[in-house]
Amino acid sequence: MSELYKILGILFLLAYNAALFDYYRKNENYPIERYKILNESSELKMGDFQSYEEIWSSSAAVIDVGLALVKNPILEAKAIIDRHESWYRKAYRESEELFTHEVYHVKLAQAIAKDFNKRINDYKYDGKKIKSRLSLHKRKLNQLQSKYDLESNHSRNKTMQNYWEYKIDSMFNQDESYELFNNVLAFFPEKPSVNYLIYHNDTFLGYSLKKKEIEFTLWDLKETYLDTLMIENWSVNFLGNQGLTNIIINYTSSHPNAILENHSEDSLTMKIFKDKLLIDKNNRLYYARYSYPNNSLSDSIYQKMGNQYFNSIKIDSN
Amino acid sequence: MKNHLNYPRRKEILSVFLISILTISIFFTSQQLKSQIALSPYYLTSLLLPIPIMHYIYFKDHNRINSLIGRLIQDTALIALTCLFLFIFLRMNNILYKIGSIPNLITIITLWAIISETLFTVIYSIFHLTKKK
Repeated sequence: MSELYKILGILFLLAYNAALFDYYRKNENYPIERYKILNESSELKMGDFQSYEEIWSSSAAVIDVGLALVKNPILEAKAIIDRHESWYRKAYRESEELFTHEVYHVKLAQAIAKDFNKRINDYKYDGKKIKSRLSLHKRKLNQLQSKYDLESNHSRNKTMQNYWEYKIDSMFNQDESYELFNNVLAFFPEKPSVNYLIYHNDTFLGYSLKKKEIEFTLWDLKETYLDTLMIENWSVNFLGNQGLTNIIINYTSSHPNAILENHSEDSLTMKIFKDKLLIDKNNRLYYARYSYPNNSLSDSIYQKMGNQYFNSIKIDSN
Repeated sequence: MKNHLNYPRRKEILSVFLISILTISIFFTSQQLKSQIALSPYYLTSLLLPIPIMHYIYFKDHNRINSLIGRLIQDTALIALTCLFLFIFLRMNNILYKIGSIPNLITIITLWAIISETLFTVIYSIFHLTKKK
């Protein structure tokens, strides 16, 4: 075949490709932006995973999330998703655990951006200082993202995944302490919902937050029990009525407002309950509860979360 | 000696160049058609044509079919050139994410070349054997 024909063929195909691409560009409907800038309320969507999955990667999904400065109208840090570098394997599209894991990668970036913005406002950083501090926060974010992946084993380690979800939620809401009752403050990783406790003929107002297998609750018991034996009997009956077993009562709690703490287990749901009976200066009682799955291997991690919750309860702080 | 080596090389390079662009054209045309009209899921089989065409061009140039080693060398050059063109094209138009990454691109093109070349070799061998009998 003559070289001339080949050259002519090449030129024709090059022109054809150019025309084809021009046609494609003109007819492309709603091209998706590469970067998604996230507000505090923005959420990750499956459509944000735009890139084709990596054939040779052992990961099931990758989300590329970082920090950027946006002027709107003042300079502030925002978490951004690079959609062209984010992908999700088709075989795992139905996996809720994996998607939640990726959601928390995004939430971690949002928490760091929120913290950075708070520092910008508190310390009145100028433009130059903001830019120099951005790299520090980016490095911090990368380190935390790697640690999150490593410890949760990309969502495979359920206990550590729960722990990191709690930790990231706490980082995100670290400035939000909810005043639940008069003079009672407590930190919940997210906004708690109202939870009424109906016991015997009484109804007690309370708040609770359920995160997967763990639950944080605080009830206002209203009544005052001053007699030690009465309190102990009430606690045992209260737990016994719920079908809880292996009850251990301890009077030497580390919490300044606790008059009693107890440990109990539910053999049906395989859950452990850690409760504290707290008292304010007017002798009003509050019942704080933390429940988590009964698993001896992960007990210390769950207890750590529980201790953080109990320590955050402040009564009569004013 | 110099002429003897140079002449076929330029011929072959031009063939590989032509086939590489032809492959890209077939691929993008099918992608465009797919978005405009309902295509049979087997439309991608049209991508099996370029490699046999490349071997046919060699046959026309040299009046003999290329040896297996020669075909593999030509295929390797075709893989390299197609990867390079596609990479430039996708990168320039900011759509590299549609294929994922460079390792993905190389894997897909190599796989395509292996399938295409295997099919060609099998069909050619069967045809050759039948002809001998």
